[in-house]
Amino acid sequence: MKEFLRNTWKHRAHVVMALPAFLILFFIMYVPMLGISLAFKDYKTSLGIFGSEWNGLENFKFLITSKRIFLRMTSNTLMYYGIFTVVGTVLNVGLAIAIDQCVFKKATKTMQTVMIIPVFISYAAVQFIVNAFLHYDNGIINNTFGTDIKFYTEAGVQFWPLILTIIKIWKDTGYGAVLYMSVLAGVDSSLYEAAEIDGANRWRKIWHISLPALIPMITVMLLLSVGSIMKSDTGLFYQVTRNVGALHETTQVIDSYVFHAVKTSSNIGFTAATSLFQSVVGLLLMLFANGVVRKVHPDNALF
Amino acid sequence: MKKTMKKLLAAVLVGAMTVAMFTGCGKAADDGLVTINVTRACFNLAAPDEAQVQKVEDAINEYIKDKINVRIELNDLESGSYTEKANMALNANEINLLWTASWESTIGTNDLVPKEAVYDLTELIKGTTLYNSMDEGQWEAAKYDGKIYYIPVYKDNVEGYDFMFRKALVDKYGWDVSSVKSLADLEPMLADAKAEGLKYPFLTQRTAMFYRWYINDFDFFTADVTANWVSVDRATNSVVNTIQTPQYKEFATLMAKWAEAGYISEDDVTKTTTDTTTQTQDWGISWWTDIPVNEEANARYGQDVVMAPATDRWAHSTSALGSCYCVTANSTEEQAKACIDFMGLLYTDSKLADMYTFGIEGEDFTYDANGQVVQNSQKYNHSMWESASATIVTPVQGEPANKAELYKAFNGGANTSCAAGFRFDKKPVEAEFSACQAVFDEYGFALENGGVAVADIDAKIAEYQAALDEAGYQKVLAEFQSQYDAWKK
Amino acid sequence: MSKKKKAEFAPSRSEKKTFGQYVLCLVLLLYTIACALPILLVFVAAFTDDKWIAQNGFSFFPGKWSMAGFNSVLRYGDSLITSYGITIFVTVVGTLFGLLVMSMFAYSISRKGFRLAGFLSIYLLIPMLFNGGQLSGYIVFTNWYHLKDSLLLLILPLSVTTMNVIILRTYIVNSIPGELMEAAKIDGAGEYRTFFQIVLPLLKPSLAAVGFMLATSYWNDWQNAMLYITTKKKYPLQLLLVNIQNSIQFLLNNTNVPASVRAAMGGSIPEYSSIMATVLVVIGPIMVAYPFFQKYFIKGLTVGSVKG
Repeated sequence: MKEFLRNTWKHRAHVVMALPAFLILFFIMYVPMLGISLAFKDYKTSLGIFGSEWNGLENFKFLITSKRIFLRMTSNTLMYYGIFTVVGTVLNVGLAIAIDQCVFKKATKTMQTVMIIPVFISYAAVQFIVNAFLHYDNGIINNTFGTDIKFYTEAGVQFWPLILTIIKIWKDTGYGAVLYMSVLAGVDSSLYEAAEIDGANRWRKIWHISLPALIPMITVMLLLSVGSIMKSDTGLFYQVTRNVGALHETTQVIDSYVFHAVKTSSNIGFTAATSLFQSVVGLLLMLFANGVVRKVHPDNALF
Repeated sequence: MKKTMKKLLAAVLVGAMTVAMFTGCGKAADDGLVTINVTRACFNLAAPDEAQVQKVEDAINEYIKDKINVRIELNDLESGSYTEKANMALNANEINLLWTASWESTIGTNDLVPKEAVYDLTELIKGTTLYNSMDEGQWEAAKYDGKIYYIPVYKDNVEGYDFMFRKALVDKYGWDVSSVKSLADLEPMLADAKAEGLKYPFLTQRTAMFYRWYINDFDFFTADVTANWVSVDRATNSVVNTIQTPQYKEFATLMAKWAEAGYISEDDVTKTTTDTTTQTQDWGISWWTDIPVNEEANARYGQDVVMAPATDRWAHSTSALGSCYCVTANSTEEQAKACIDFMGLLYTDSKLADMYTFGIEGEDFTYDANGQVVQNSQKYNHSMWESASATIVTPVQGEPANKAELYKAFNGGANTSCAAGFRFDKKPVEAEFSACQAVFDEYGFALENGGVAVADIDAKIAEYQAALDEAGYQKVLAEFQSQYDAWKK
Repeated sequence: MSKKKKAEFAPSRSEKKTFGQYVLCLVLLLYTIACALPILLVFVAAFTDDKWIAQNGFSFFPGKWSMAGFNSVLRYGDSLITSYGITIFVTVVGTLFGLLVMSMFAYSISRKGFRLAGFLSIYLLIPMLFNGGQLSGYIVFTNWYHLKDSLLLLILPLSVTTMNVIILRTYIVNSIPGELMEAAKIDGAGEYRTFFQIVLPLLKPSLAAVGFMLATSYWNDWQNAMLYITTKKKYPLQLLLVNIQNSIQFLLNNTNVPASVRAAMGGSIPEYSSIMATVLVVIGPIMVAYPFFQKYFIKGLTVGSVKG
């Protein structure tokens, strides 16, 4: 104990530096966490959060009442997580490396500016653009290829994982690459010079210098994303698909189900229970993944 | 060293004290008037101007302070975020008098009662000006479990639907709209419309219409399209599984047939049509909610349209609550009484009603030569239907001067449903109910909008039923039946 | 400490414009065009006649042009200007504040030998996973802290995020050599000097990246404003636009709204083109401001070198 206090005193400057963020997190994030109790309560407006009675695990039944729906939305959530994470990471890193390697700096600068614009376009607008492409009658895809696919009905169900992935890539890749570009910008150029002298070609330089520099950041981003494995972007899954029931087979995820149910059912306990479920699963998986990383490469672990 | 520690501690203490100071600051009591917070939604403007709202609030307070012992704080929220904002404010105990409706989500009339968010007015309202301003029937229809929680806004409080035809086509083909008695009668006209090359001969406006076209046969007391799988069969006065009725199959088959014939466009199934579509000349026949002055449709759609009744008019549990007010549970008895007094004055005093609805005379609106209202404000702009009774608010220019009488006749000519007044308490089966609503989105919507081929109808309905059962439908149905039977006695 | 490198291209990249380089550039160009097509569509749609869209769908070559969509947004001209001001203010202040606070925290938890670092890391991670929900947040912020209608509620909640702190910490641990900090200590620099004079300058690329991401989240945020801001003058840009969009959609799609209301709107309400117009209003300033961030993390555009 004494040892600990002495250590803290020795690092008092660090304590002071950490203090502002600590306080902000405390007041803005931790204090409202009392709301998690709503997952186990039967909320009544007149009683408020603290006065409402406990009702055990009743609220969780909302998720599992229809096993069919639960299994489907959970498997969809996991499937999309897998696809988006793998494809997203590969493309983000690939784009960052490509931009880093390209000598036409001025052109690259302009192109990259264009690439980040999609992230600012809200899904409310995106859904119309998607419709413009996918419309069965005068949509751009059907017109270009002369086909007649009705994407928004059962006939189009199997296309949607691909469609949603493409939309996600379009929206986020330019933006996601920025982080990795910043890492590459911090790589000492003398390393590349030395490799050049040793006779390494471009690909070897990337493999031996650029990629290793990126690994810590990639690992950390992956670990962080595991925590949100059960969460999805309602803009993408609810608004872009217009919540067309026929497509639920491949597009219904936990968040879109809850989002829609809350509109018609308005039970706060349901939302809180779902949120807790997502958090706990995320936490467990993150602990597991972090443990794995710690064994392989302790420096890159989150904690 | 010691100094830094001291500084740190001092900072933390000051911080803690500041926070403690802030919690628990209240409002100073005023000059003997009871203050109530009135929260309402603004549908006519994207964002009401709060300076103007403040002016209106001051004017109203000035006007009422001698008449009733009340001061109001007027909270005018834009409709785009009304549900979220009002819900939060409600839960933070900020509101006393709240405007809502049966069709609102999250804070709708069906949502507030189980959450015990509304004040029981049954005793307080007896004998007041407010109670006497509307006839008993209206109050009866608004009751929940025999108690009065909601103050209805008197307007078209009954539900009926019409077939709507574009006049241009009626004239061109000489359609005899008065001979149309049922959906099937529309077919020859739809064929004409198709021959004309129209994109939407029959426009469902992306609504699953079974729970509207068939209200002569059933009372869909939940008035919620996603729960139309259960209803009261008027013939037998008992709760039935709507999906299994012959009418449902007949309807779904008809929609499927029309879709295959090209009368119903896929845009309705994929929810691509909107009111912009109805303003174009691309459609032939659609539907319209019957109101006292159907001619308003011409203005709405920018073209002349003709109506033919599709159903009778019915008064049932939710029709009276298309627009209503409630007092929140966190209000004191004094505040509840104040709300009732305010509403009573609002429903009987024409000047107050106009001020509350249209704003400041001279700035937001004026009276024309006939004494009717001309609105032109971009700062404070409301309509009768979400403000006060049709019997007290001055008609807007262009509306018939005898609007109040028209409404009375309209409401008077309705049938009262056998299930009027029944409220379903979904607490025992809440999770299953929610799951079944999700199943509707998957199957019901497509079935009722022509999204399924004729040959597949039987199979699809069976699949729909199976999915419902898996979600716990039978339990919900049994609960409905037992509650309804108990209520019937 | 930091020498300015003169060459516009990093010396390791010789000026060789090899065939491979051209291919690479072409690939990037194709991807850029694929990104740009939908944006172009948005642009065209903002100026297309709405009825034409209802009948024919979106197209790059519409039959009828119209300013109606744009005008329905520009009607709110004054509010737009104020909203821009608010959004810019919140974004700039929030980003700078957040970067300072987060980098200090990241630095302190990156110090080996600091026992509390482990605790602080976990303290940091929990809010990312567990959330109290919108309702309790509302009650706490408005009833307990009395911060309703305060710009603080637009700035503070987004200023510290787990992901950004971890990114900064990772960068400090992996890209800033410990020897530099040791050397500074030996020279007699205190902890604060070490941080502000040595670490921060080296942190620039990461600060630029995190700063950009932070600025983006501020720029796009409207949920906080919708719940907590009541004074119209304090509405940020996105909220104003969402309100405009929602009210238009509500008017068009809700059958309970009486006909007289729609008639009062004077003619048709352009749904699609107005939404596209709002998108343009949002991304306009981005295209102007972004190059400022960009130069910090595209190698070869770096102003001042990163390594001495």
